[in-house]
Amino acid sequence: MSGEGILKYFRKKWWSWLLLEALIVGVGPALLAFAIGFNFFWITAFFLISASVYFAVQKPWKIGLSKVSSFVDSRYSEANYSSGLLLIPDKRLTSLARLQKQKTERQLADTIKSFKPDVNFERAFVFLLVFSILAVIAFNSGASAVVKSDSLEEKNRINFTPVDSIDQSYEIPEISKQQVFVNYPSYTNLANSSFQEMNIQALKNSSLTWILEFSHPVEEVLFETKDEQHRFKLKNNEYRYSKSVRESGFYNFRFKDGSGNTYVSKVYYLEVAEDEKPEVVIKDLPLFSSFEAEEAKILNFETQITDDYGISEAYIVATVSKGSGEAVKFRELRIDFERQISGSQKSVVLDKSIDLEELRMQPGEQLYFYVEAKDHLQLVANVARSETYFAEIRDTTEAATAISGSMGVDLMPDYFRSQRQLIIDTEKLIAEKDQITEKEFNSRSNELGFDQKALRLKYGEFMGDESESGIAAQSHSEEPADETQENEDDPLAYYTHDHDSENEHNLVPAEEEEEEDPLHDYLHNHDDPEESTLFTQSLKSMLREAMNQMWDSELQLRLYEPQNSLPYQYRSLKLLQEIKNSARIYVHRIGFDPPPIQESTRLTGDLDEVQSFSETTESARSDQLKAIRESVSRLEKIIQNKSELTESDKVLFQKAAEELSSLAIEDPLKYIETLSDLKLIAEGKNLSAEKLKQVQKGLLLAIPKNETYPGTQKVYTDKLQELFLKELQDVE
Amino acid sequence: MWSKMEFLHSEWVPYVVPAALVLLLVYAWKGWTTTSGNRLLLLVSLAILSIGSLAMLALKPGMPQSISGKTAIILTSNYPEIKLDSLSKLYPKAARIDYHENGNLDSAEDVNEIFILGNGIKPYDFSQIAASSKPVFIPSEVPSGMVQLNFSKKVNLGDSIKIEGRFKNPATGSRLVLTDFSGNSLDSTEFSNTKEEIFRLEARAMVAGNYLYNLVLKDSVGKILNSEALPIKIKDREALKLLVLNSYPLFETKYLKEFLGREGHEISLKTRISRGRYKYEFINTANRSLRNLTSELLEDHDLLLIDSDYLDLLSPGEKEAVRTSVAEAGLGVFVMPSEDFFRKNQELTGFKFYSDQSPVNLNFKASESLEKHDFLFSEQDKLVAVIENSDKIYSAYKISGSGKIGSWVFANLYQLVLKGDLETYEYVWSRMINSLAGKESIPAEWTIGNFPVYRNEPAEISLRTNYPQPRIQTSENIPVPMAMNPEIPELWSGRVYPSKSGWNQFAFAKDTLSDTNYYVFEDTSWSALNNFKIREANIKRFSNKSKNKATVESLQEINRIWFFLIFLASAFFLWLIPKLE
Repeated sequence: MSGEGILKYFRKKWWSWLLLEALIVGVGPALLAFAIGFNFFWITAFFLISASVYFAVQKPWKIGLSKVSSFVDSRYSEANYSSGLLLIPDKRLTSLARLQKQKTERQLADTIKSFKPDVNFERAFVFLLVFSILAVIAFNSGASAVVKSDSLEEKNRINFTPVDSIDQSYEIPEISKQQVFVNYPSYTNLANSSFQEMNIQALKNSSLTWILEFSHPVEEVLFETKDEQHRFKLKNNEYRYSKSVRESGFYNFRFKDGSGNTYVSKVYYLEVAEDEKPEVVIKDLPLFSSFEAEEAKILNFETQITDDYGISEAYIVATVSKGSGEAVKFRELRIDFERQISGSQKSVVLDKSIDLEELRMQPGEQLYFYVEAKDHLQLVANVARSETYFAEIRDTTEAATAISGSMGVDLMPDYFRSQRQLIIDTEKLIAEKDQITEKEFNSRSNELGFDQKALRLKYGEFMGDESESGIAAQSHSEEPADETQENEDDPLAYYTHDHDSENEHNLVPAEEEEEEDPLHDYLHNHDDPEESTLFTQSLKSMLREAMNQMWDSELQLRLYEPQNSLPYQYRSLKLLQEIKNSARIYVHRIGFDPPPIQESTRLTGDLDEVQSFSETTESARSDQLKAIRESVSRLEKIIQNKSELTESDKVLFQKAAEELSSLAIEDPLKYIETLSDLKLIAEGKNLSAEKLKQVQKGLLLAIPKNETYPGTQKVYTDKLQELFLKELQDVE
Repeated sequence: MWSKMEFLHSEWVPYVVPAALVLLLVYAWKGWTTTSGNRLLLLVSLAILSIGSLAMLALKPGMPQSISGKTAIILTSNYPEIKLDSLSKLYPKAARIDYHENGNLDSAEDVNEIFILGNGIKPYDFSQIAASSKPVFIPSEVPSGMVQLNFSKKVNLGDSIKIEGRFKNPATGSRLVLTDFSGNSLDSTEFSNTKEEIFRLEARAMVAGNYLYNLVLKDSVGKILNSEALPIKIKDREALKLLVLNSYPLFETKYLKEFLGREGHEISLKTRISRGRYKYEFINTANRSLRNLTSELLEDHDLLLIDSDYLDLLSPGEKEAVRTSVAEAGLGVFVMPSEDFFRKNQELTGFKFYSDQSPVNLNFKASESLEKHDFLFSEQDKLVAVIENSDKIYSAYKISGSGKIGSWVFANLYQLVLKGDLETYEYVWSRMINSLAGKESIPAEWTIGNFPVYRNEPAEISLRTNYPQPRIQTSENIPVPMAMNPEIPELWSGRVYPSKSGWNQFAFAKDTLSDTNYYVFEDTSWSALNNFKIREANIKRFSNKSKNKATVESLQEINRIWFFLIFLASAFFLWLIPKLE
């Protein structure tokens, strides 16, 4: 190497070392970028930028030859401080200098290769280390997730399988971006959302838009459901397809690439949820309310309405009914709430008070009403109703036996006087007291008492107990009661219910009774735990209560004190009527008027109008699993004989896929794999025997286990057998 | 001794002897002319010797000799070495035939005594052993594994597949699992007793077709020890043709017709709505006139459903038509009983009932909700019970000619539908219908005699058909010769050696009248079962008592070298003597 060449060589070496250092430094940021999750372009960019920046900072252009030579001089003794000489051409040098130059040349030429430039690699490695640590920290903290939100997750990526077999060398276009936008219906006021996962759940009538982008250009992209295929529209390199969904189903994607190969994706399911009906609950009101004619007839209640996507309106539907039996008349009204519902509230509580007088209701009329609410569902709103509540204004002019009124058959024999009748008769007796003899008065009172007892016993049968007082009591009733005098003396007679003592009919002098019990009207606690009626007046206890009232009224009547018995009678009547009404079931009016019965043709037995007739129906439910069954059988043959799929096989499997998808809507996860594979087979793709067996297994899951198959069998009739049977017959 | 001499090539005698005589005469005449006297005599006798020995060489005379003591031991699969050793000690010169290697029994022809060791020879090879040698079979141990098996090879759709068998020496804790063709486990049983176990497995047939169900033996951990295939053919059921006659509209009929109509069966209904007025309904079938109940109308249907009150409405002609259709056309009749049916005189059906108030008690849970009339069937000679439990017969039928008449004591079965229990409702009705319905006739019935059928081993096939001279061929269109049974003209039998494993087929050659499929296994399948069968067959066929050594006589050829030497010597002298002159 000549003089300058040596130094040039050294300079080159210096530059390359600087470059290397810069590159090492550049690796650091690149690592960091990788850990954060930038893609390849950015990583390279970071690397290049940081490397070049660092390189520039070192100012390599300043390293000229003179700098090199001074460096060499200062560092290496072999230069003898005369490396500068190497730069000067010979003709400008003295002979001594020339000598020195040659000497230096010789020395340097040997040793220049071992000289190290002034490049500090340690710094570079420190940089690298620092960035590596940062990268590790960044990776672990998941900063990658932040940046990756836009990129495609592997598990959600749509994978396509080629339908026909293609060369492996050919590159299959892949999905680079996939998204589904869900636009909920406007009335729900829900924000639009987007997903990458292709198994979607949406509300009915939402509009869904699928956007797909491919890594290579493709010809045609299709959206396939059970029955149809739709094309995606290409715009700005994105394929779009929109659809508003009404029912659940399965779908898959299919595309054709540039050379005509078709690719099919896995089957995904689309679950469509319905907008539910609102829920309406009326609070603070008993199911049945009854009012007397005189009192204030106001119903106060609160209605609570909730809906999943907003309530649009609510109102009360009321019907007033008048009369009974075949002459009943109905009047329908609609009553609004005071507060209007605005916007789309999801939950609302409305107060209302209904005054029966305002509705022009008379005693004896009944009102039944319910609250109806609608939600915002488009086209046809969901309507929901509350329970029907009942209110009536009592009409005391009706005479009816309490319990039998609610049953179909009148179990009370005619000669029983009803409680109401007894009251009327008692009042009549009291009114006539002055006009008749005492004897007659007493005997009539006694008769009324007897009737009261008979009534009570009859009711007692409903309760399932033997007549409490039994037959034995009857003998007592015949005796004249001169003992009644004692009763009047007893100031507590009115208050006590003297059932327990032996002195029930006051046959013996009465003792002091127990002190007034403020709860005596409510408690008839004859050591019977089920009788504590303070808290709940169940039907049975109410009846028992009524019977007790009847008992007391009978007592008074037998004691020839009808006016004392009246309060008991009224109370028992009230109880009986309550029982009667609470045993009713209220059914919404049908609005059906049967045609009036023509008496002339009734029961004549005339058959002229009755004709024989015939009708033909086709009610065979086509076996919804027919193709599935046949597919199982055909698959078995294919697996056993290792045969190829024919065209008719493909048609069969396509039908089976359709059947399976209708079934699978109920339970998508169970069938979705089988459905995907079945579709692939229907396209003609050859699957391995194991895969076919799996498909067969999946199809078998769809067939219900416990079906019976009634039907005929095929049997060969043997002459010998027939002879045998004939002989058997003749044996008889 | 010489009188017993026989020629081996006795068929050449008529050729050789005259030729020899001619030769002799020629020589004698030649010698006559040239030489004379003693020399002539000598020459002629030498000639006789030489020509005679030549003739003998050709004819191979032999002497019958008794070969006593020639023994062969046939070694079949699984033979015990110990027994072989002890037998070899007794019969040191015994020849060994390796049957289990090559199945070849040719060398067993001349043998006096034969011993068979091991599992035995295959039953179709029995004819290769001469019966006169009275072989002795010394069996090895009973093979372990599935030694006996019985399963339903042909099943109707919806019926149960039943498998029962005997398993020898199962490992404790091992399980036998019945799986279907796609691998789903259907039923299993666990083995506890290690000597021998009888097992029963059951499953429902779900889809029609020919399938290979599997019996898998798993050990207590779940590892599969062995798996064998069960070829089962599941036949589809055909739609029924029902005729229903009701004397008044019944709820039971309403729900029944909905059920059967859904399944696609054809129902014709005639319901009386008033005196002389009827309602006719046709479900899944065309209109027709049901006015008169004739035999033609009845024979067109598979099942007649009639309620007990309608029976009284039938005219004598109609009753007769029902009787003949049942007896001759195989019609099934089901009588839907009303309360008073049980006390009436059973003219048509001949059933007898007795009073019983107890509730229905069958061995499935839902039977508790079944209602019945207060009667039960009494046992009768020809009564066949359909639904019964511990001597209480709830439903039964009688065979009348080729058809059946049945009834039951249940009431208000439709209540099950109203309660939502469709399954039990369908099950009970299906059982009844399937027992009574008339059967469709097919032209041929096939039976494959043995299970399992192996490749390259014979499959016995028998065929019942009215078809005269049936020509059968296999799936490769190879004709199968069939032999008619001499006593039963409809029964034919044949034998085929299938060359392909898997499902094979037999079919009629010219028409597509009927065909059947059967499964052919490879040699390694069902080894325990097969070995057991072979062993049993050998035990039956061969005794296992050793007997006296009988002698066998066979012709032993006189050594030809002697004749050759005589010929050589005489020829030499014949040549020499003239030379000496």
